[in-house]
Amino acid sequence: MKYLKILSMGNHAKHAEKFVNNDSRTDWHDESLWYVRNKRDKAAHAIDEWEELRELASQIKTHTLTKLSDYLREFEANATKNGVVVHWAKDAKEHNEIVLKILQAKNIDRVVKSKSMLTEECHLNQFLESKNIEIVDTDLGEWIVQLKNQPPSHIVMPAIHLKKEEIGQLFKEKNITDIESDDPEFLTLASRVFLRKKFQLSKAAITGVNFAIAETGEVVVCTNEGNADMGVHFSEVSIHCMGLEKIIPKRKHLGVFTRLLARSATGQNITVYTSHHRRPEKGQEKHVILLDNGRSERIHDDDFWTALKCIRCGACMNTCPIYRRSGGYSYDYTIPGPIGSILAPSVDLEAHGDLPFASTLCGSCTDVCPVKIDLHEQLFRWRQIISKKQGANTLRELTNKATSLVLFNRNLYNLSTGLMKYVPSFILNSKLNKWSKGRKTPKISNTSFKSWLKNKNKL
Amino acid sequence: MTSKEYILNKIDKKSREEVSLPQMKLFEDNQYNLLKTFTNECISIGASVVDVKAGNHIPNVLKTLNSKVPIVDLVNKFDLDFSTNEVVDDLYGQDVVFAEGEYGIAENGGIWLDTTKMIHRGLLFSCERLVLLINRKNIILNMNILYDRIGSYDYDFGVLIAGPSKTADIEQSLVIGAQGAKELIVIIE
Repeated sequence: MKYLKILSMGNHAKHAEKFVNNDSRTDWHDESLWYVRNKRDKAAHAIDEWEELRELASQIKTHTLTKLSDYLREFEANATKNGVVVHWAKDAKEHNEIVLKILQAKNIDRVVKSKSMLTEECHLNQFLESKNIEIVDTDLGEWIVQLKNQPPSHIVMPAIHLKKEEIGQLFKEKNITDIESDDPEFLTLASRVFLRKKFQLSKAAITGVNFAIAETGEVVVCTNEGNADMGVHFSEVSIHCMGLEKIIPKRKHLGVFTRLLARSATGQNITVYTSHHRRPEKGQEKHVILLDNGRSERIHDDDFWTALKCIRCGACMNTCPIYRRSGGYSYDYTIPGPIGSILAPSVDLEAHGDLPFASTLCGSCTDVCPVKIDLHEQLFRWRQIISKKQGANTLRELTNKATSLVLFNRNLYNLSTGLMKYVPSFILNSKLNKWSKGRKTPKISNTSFKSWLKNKNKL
Repeated sequence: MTSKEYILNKIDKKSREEVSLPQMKLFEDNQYNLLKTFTNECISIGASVVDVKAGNHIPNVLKTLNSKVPIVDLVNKFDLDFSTNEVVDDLYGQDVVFAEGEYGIAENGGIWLDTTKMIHRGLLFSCERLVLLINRKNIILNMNILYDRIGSYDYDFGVLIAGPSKTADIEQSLVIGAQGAKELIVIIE
C-alpha cells in the first residue's frame, strides 16, 4: 500500500496560531459568533415545528439529490421557457469563461456582484480583473474584504474578523470617507453613497443563488441589504451563478427552507429581501450558470454525498468551538468551519487533509444544521480514511497504542497513574508535550482518587 | 460532448435508491391573533405601521410623509397631485415609493409582492422610503401557507420584503439602510 503524504498536516494549527496569539481578539471573535448562535437559538425555539421543518428540509434535499439529473433537466427546460439562458459549467475555469463571454458579447467592462460563495470558489473576481473588467462586491461585508484584498472569513458574515476601527481606517485609506471613523452607521452610509455610483455605472449584475425551483425555472436570492436587487433590476444583463445542488423540486418547498435559512444563519425570522427571479424584464438579458466543479463526483461518494444538502447558512461555524477561536482563515479554504472541513478534503486531500482534525467532534454542528447533515460523523469518517491513507508510524498512532495498552490493563494503569506524580513538571510542561502549549499541566495530587475513596469509606 | 451531457452523464453514472418526497404541511395554528402578531413583527424588524380603518385615509398618510419629489405609485392606485404613475428619469433619486402587497406574513412581518403589473421593479429597492399597503384580510401565519397560496402564480418577479434594508456586517452592529430602502412604512387597511 502506498501511503499518501498529507502535506498540510498541522496547517490549520499553524494558521490558527497567528490568530490565537492575541487573547483579547480571540475572545472577541469567539463572543461575536456565540452571540449569533444565541440569536439562532432564540429564533429556532420560538416556533413549535422547528424540528419538523428540519426533518422536512432534510428529506426534500435528500430526495432531490437522488433524482438530481431529472430536476436539472426540468429546471433548464422551464428556465428556457421563461426567456432565461441556461449554461452548464464543468469546472471553475469554464464557469469564469462563460461569464466573460456573456460580458464581452455586450462590451461590458464594469460589473456589480452580490455575495456568492460560488464565485469565491471559482475565484471569479481575480479572473475578471485579469481581463480588465472591474468587478465590485456590493454586500457590505464582502466589499470590505474586497477592499482589503482578503477572501471572506465567514460565508454569511464575510468581515466578522475585522474590528470597526480597522474598517474605518480602510475606508479613509481608500478615500471612501474623508475622516477616519469607527461608527458603523457612518461607515454603512458612506458605503451606500459609494456603491450607488457603482450600481449606476455598471451594466451587468452577478448574483449567487440560494434556491432554484425545477418546477418554475426561477431562482431565489435572499439578502438583507438589497444589493442583489439593486444590481439585477438596474442592469442590462444579469447572471445568476449556482452549484448544481441548489435545486429544489417545487415552489411550495420554499416554505420549509425560507423558514429555516435566516433563523439558522443570523437569528432573523426571514431575510429582508427574498427575491424570486423568473423572467427578465423587457430589454434585459438573464443568464443562469449551473456549476459542477466536483459536485457530480461527490454525489457518488457514499461517505460524504449528503454534504450536498448544505444551504450555506453558516450555523455550523457560529457554533463550532474551533471556528470561533481559530477564525475563518485558519481553514485556508473558501468554505471554513465544519462544513468546509468536510468539503475541502474531497477537493484536494493533500492540501486540506488536516481539516477534519480541526474539530472536537462535539457534535454541536450536527445539532444546529437546518438540513440535518451528520457533520461530526462525516468529520470522523474523514479522520479514519485519512489516517489509513497516511500510514503508520505517526507519533499520534504510537501514543494511541500506548494509551490503549495502559487503559486495558488494570495493573499497568494503577502503576502509571501512580508514577505520574514523580514526573517533574518541567517535563510535563516541556515542548514535547504539545498539550501544554498555552496551558499548564495541573499539579498532580499525591493520593490517587481510588485510594482517597478507599480511605474515606473506612472512616 | 457538451458540458451539459458530460455533467448529466456523470450524475447518472450510478443511481441511488430514490428517497420519496415528504408530504408538505402548512403548520396552521389558530392561537395567533394574526393582525397583532404581524404588527409586532413589523415593528421589531424596524418598519413602522399605520392602521387605517378605511381606504380613504391612505392619501393623507402619504401626504404627511412630505416626499421631496412626487411619490411614485408603482401600482396605479391613486391619482394624487403629489404622486406620479410614470417611470421617472432619475431612478436613483426617488424619495417615497408606494406599492400594494398581496399577503402579509405574521411570523416574520414580510410582505409578498407580485411585481408583474408594477411600472418598475427596481424602485422597490432604490427608493429612500418604501410604503407598502396590505389588507388586514390578507395576513397569513407563515411561509408554508404563503407558498401554498402562490404555488401556481405566473409572476415574472416576486419578492417578499420584510422591513427596511439592513446590515450587521460591521462588528455585528445593526444598521438600518444599507443599499435598499432606509425606511419601510406598512399601511394596514
